[in-house]
Amino acid sequence: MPKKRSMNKMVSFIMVLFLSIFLVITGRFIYIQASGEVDDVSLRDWASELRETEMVLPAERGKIYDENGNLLAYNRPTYRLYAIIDPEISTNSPTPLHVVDPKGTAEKLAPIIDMDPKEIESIIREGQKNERFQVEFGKKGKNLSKQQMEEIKALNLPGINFMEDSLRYYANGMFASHIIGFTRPDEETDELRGVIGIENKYDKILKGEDGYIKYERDYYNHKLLKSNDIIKPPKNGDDIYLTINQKIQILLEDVMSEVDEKYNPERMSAIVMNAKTGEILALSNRPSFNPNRIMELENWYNDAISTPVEPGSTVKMFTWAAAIDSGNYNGNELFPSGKYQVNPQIEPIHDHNEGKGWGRITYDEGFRRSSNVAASRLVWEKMGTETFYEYLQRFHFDQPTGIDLPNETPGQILYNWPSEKLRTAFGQGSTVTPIQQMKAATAIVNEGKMLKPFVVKKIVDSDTGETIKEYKPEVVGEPIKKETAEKMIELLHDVIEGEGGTGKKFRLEHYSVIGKTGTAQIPNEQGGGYMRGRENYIFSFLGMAPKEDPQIMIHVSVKQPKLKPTETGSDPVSYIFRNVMENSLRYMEIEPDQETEKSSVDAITFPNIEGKRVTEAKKILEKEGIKPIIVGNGQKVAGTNKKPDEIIFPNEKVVLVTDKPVMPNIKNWSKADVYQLASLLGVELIESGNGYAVKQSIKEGEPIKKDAILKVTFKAPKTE
Amino acid sequence: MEEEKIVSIEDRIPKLKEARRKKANRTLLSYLTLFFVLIAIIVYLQSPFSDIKTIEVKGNAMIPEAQIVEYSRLEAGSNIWRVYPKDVAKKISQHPLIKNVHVERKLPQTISIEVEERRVIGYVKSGQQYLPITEEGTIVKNIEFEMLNHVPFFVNFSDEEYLTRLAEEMKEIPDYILKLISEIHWKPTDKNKYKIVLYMNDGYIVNASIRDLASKINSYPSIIAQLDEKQKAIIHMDVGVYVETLK
Repeated sequence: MPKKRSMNKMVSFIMVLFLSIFLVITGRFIYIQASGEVDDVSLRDWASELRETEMVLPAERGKIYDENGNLLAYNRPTYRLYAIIDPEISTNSPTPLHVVDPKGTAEKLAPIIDMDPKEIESIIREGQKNERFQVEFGKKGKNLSKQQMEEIKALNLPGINFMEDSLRYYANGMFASHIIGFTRPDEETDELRGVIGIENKYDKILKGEDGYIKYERDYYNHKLLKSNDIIKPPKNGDDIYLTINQKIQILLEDVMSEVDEKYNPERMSAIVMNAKTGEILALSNRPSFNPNRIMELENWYNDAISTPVEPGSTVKMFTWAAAIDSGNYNGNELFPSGKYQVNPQIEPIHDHNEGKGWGRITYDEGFRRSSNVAASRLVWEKMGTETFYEYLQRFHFDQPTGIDLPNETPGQILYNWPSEKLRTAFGQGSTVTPIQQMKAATAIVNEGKMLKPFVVKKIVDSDTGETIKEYKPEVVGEPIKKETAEKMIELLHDVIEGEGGTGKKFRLEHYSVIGKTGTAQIPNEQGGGYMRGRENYIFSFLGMAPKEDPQIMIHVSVKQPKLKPTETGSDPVSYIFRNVMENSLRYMEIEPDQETEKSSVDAITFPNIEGKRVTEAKKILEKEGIKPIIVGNGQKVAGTNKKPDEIIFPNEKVVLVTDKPVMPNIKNWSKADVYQLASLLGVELIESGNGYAVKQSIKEGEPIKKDAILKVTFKAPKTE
Repeated sequence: MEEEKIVSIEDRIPKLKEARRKKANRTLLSYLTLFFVLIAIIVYLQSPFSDIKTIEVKGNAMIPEAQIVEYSRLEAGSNIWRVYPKDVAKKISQHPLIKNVHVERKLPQTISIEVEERRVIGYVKSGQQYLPITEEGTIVKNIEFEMLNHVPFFVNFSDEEYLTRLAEEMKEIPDYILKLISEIHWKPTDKNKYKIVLYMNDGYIVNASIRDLASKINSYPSIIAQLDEKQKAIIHMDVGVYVETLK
């Protein structure tokens, strides 16, 4: 039966075929099951990739506070506008969900976001043409305030929606901008990054770490019922408390802006420091910027720490301190001031009054008169250049102060040639920054101990409120002895109070001041030498108060102010210093140590003199310290401009009108006084101009007729 | 005997009659009294005795009395009983310079009006006329008033917002300081919209800011007490307080 055999063969072949196919497939299954890999792709990973979805939980950037916990920098929600233009979205909705009327929508939006309605419309139309689902509106449609967002929402425009963003916001605008710095979104990651100041230096601490949430979902994006959620909470950035005091900083900013407006200097900077601790209480530069509007950025540099300059005479305090401390100083010794030439090869040193000097004066007087010759002699003849150099190092003029701000650039000591060594003694050639000088000066007010300046007080965990790190005052050297410091305080006091002292303008009303003025020449950028002209200097002052126990130290420098012929370069400097010093001390409730002549005046209660005889009335008033102006030569008082029991001050005009009034001379009377006189005399007043009376139509001594007309011309006073 | 006991009704009639008459008389009398009282009232109301003879105005200083009377719409000669004090008070309080008013009938023939004027903190020029500004910051127009309060003239306040803001500050300043100021000029700059310059009666100039005028101007008397009388000076009260002497 060959047919049957072949049939059997056929059957067994098919069986073998199926069996082998079966084996191959199950083998593959088993293999996949065991290894979990196909084409080198891990199935497990692939599955979870398909299923799991991840969301970033952004960490909030840490806030920045002042020393008293006032918010300086924080994050504010802002809104980004977008418009859905795809009509398909509205298919199953009773109300339209996309932009139906591009033109009307554009016109309504335009005024709120300050954008051209045509531009808005064209963005929408463009999007429609390209079959986009939604469009955004560029810069103008971003960073909208909550108020703008609510205004737009109130319009009920279909298709107009918002996304929430977070914007770094600086509460006080232009306020310690160079210290706080600002942030900018990173070009690649769009993450906020601190660019300068604290925002930059402490970027990592402020930034925190983003967290995320992972969950599983089905094809339709719904979360699975038994999803394995993985949540890593974000670590919000830590908060930073500065040593800046908001009150003092605002005061400083206001004064700086005022001076900026009035004198329009090239550059200005001022630092206010707690003299006892090295804490920076306020710091401001001009030009400055508003970190909320970085477009206007004019000056990136924190000049107070990053721009070394030839400082001028303020460094003389360190020259003198070095001479005293090294035992090479006798304050009563006389020297010839005016001009000093070490040898014929070296250009002579001149005193600042064109080399005239003040004859033979003592070194003490040389200090308060800011004599360059005295400084040069102290270095060259008394202590020697090497000793002086050693002291410059002890005062850390050869290194950065280590202040916790980015981009500190220390000055450079030029000390190779004799003339450089001489000029360094009075602040030329070698350069320093204002902060370096302040650091060195802390030794003078702290019995020889030098403090490191700092701006961060503490770092606080924003989630738990725990203090992570606290910064304490740090003594970084002891360049001079206690006795030297005490002697220096006396010398610095003489600069303000002594005869011929250069710092008379820096006196305060309620506190005694110590300090040193400086007028630094500016190197000429075209060609060598220094710039000429009376405005072309950096005027500065480094001062502390009160004298006995200095609490606050201020350094002010103003470069090339525009001066009127009557003004001097120290005017803007002293204006800043006095305002900030006096008010800061008062704000810190430091006891005034200086008497003011008279702080209050006694107000007088006006006596009743109605109907009395003129002579008698005059006597009564004079007893009270009032000198009345008597109008006319009648016997009886017909009227006065003050009521009985009215409170008056000694400066007020008291007018006594007699029963036979004649016109008084009213030159320089104020308008209000003239009006009162007119109503007392019963005359009609016709006035012109404002200010004080310069012309009167009824001449002095003319009798007054009832209902006469008095014409008076007023002129505004000079205010310059 | 029985008959004797009976008192004849005829005997009693006179008494009854009398009682009846008495009663009638009484009624008549009361009606008559009522009648005459009513007549008297009518006569009183018709006679000049019920007319207002005097209108008494108290408490006004800068507002002329006649103006208050005019606002009250009262007229001498109109009937005192037709005056409703509350209504009159309402009418008077329409006057922009009046803060409070109390009206009372004082019989027989007087209406008494007691007003409390609003505090005027300055004058502002409009044409050739000065208008008072109340401490609420409103400029009162079309009202005749006496410029007897010694308060400053406001000059150049082209923006009413700043005027209102200044009025708010001025409210806090006591009268004895207010009267030292002659003029207040608004001098806004680009950076400081709040800048004002004060011309004082004693000839000094004060540079100040609208924002904190009230807190700073109070020290004015003690500042100038320290100045040399002949010395011309500008007193700065904007940022910090200090004196700039002029040559």
